[in-house]
Amino acid sequence: MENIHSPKGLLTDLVTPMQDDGSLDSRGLGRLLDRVAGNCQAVLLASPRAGEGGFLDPDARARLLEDALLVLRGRKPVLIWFTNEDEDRTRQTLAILNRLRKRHAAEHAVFFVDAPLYYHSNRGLASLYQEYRELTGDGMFLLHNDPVLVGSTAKRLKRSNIRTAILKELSSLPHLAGLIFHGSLDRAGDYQKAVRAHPDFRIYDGDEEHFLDFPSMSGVVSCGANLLSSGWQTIMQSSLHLEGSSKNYPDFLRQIWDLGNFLRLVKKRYDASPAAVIKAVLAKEGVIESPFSHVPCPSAEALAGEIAAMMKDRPL
Amino acid sequence: MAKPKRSGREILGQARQVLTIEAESILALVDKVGPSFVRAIEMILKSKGRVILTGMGKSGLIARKIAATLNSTGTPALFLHPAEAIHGDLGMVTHDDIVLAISNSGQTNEINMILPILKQMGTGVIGFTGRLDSSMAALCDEVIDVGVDREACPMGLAPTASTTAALAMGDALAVVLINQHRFSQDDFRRFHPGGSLGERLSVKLREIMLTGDRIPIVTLDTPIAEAIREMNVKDLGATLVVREDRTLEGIFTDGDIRRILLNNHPDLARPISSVMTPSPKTVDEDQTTLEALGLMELYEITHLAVVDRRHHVVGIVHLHDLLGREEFKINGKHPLP
Repeated sequence: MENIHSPKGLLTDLVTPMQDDGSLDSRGLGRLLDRVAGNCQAVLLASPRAGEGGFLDPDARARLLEDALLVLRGRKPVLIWFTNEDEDRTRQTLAILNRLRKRHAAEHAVFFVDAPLYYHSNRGLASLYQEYRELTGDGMFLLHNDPVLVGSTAKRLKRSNIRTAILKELSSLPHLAGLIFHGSLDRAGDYQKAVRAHPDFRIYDGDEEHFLDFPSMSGVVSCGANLLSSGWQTIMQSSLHLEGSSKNYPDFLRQIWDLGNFLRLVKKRYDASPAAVIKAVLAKEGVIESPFSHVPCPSAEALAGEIAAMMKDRPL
Repeated sequence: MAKPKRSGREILGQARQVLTIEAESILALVDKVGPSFVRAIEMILKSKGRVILTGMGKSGLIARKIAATLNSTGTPALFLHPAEAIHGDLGMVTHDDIVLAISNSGQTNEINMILPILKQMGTGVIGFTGRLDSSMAALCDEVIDVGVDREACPMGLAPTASTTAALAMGDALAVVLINQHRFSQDDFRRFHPGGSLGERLSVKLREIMLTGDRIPIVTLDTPIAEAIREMNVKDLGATLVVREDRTLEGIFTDGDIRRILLNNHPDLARPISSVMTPSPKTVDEDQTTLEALGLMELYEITHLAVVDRRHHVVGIVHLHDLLGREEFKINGKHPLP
């Protein structure tokens, strides 16, 4: 698995379909994956925002990963967030997920995603990922830099962003394939400079708005793609110039502009609580069984109604 | 519904963001130029033909600009539209040429259609692309990475940082070729009749000639020694010789001094009229610098007297004044590079 490049393009930040009791909705997961897989380059599972990873214990994440691998059957790479409350539990989660990955290794590319500052300081991160490498054998990793997420912990950490110098050091580790970035564009620029010596190290926009404004050439992690996967795929294709020639029809640019604005409007409605609102929409559409979410959002139903109406008016 | 107005701060913030992204895209190229760039330069230097630039859309515009830069810096180049190439223009390319194809995606159909044909012809192909794993990259002899981390324009409506990067890489190519060709100011003037040097060559002599007491000038009966003193003071390597009414009669130059000194018994008290060169070449003050330069080249001289209709001296020009004293030094103290 050494030197496997992480995917480039649209990474769908998948919501975790659940039954009313909080258990995994496997059939809903299958339907959702079938709906999005054709329009993205990879799927991210159990992320802290859309995937509610912080509420999923190691066994729940393992079930989610196993079900997703069975549905996808190698069609797309799978990324799974393994960060937990503290270093020990994170290591334990990684060990469980890695056993599963090894079982499916012949067929699937699986990347482990970690937000290290959630449980660890900047100091010693390179050693930590060497340990993870030894623990997993040939596991590939992506970093997750999210200062809002880190700020939400009770712990008082000195820094909520990975230090640029530390990232530079980490990017030289062959099993670290990229970073999902939340934060200011200035910091994004600094990070990009820091990893320049490693052109295959990807920096994805974790913030959809950033990608719509100034797209990263590595791609975007999008929770909106749960709802509007073809729309996000179109914007991603256009942003990354994946097609050599522009479309010939005269209003192509107008269509892209309108589509981008539409995605922004939809995002505004799910932004405050993506898991709850997106699940409410998907449940209305019958894709998943229940709108249950660990993150309560009283206005989820109303917002979902608005989004559903918008999507009906503008079928993609 | 009226659009919400943006504050000046917001506008400037966005503009600065765009400029920062574009600047970073160029800086990133510093680490990307490597052996393939060197090999591309060698390919161009070895070729007996021209550099044919090609690209579609915005990349096509960048290709046109790079072609113009190469042409004006001594590397013959032309632009070939890929779509026109398919319909016959490919005939302008020979196996002696080098093709430089530009496509950020490396997936431009029109380019990828012509590259195999060019390869069959034996034409060398260099690619500028942001994707080293693209179809175009696979078809090129040398691939130069012009990929960027981030575009400055939303949703790919127009390539921004990527085209800036390609343009900058084109400039790098052209400038390196200048140095490799040992491109001289003479070449520059030849290729830039409209440029700053070219401009100088088109100005009227009245704008650059030396006038008044800056003209080295003596009368016919001035002793040779006195004439040499005049030349020394005015520091122009020559003096004009005139009648009392300033009608031009002759010129006395450094060369004439050397010839006098070769005489065993030079008599420096003799009048200058006895040793001067009579009827020197003259120009009109309304003639151009280029015309004066042509006369100097034709007669292998470095001075021209400027006279009016009555053949009265109104000025003098030296080769230095025609080409710019700060730029051209031919007196041996500041040799040409």
